[in-house]
Amino acid sequence: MAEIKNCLLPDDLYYSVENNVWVRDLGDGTISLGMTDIAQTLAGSVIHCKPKAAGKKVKANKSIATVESGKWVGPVKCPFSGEIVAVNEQLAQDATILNKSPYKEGWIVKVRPDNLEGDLANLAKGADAIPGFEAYMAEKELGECIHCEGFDG
Amino acid sequence: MADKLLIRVFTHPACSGCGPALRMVWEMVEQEKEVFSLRTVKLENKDGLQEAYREGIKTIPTIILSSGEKELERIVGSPSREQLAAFKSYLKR
Repeated sequence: MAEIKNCLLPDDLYYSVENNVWVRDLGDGTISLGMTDIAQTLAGSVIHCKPKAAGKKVKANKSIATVESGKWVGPVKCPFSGEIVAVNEQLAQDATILNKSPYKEGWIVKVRPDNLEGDLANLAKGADAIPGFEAYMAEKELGECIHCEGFDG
Repeated sequence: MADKLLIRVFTHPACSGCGPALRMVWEMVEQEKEVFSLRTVKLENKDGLQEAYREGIKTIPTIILSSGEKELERIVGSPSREQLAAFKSYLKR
């Protein structure tokens, strides 16, 4: 597990620093995607998460979900073009899952990218994402990630 | 009369353990109002977050007991009754 200023970045995930999201290769031509620890810290307590519906086509770096927290409303962007094949229905019941378990229970959508291999090659994997996120955190003036007791990284 | 001992509870709305921790501390402070004061530091606010960074908070809830500028005790995570009761040992010093 890579770590920057108490923010966790699991080694097996790919990261789009620009979009502040992680991507997990599910091995069947699809990926799951969610907010990073850094993103959930910046957002604060998430109140609502509304993903686009399964079956929708998405374009690279466009929104696949809208997230509302106590201090922020904005899109979660997918670094790939492709088709949404599943959404995490649990988030409709409890969006704070994004805070409590951003990398496991807190996946937002599953997507079948148009060009999986090529797209993954453009992302940073595990610790390779650290320099990018360090710069990102400095830009956002984020000191450290702070986790709730029982945080499931 | 000496200054009261300050108990700060660092919380966030997404933290399920923070509410119960705050209630436990509040109950203790209510019993010892003459010596303890309570302040909730809310990490959803910018000021609260900055204070948490200054104090090196990495997990919430965290509870800090201090006298003036001096930190006396720190509990990281949900407190037990015993841990909180230990705060009262400072009343005798």
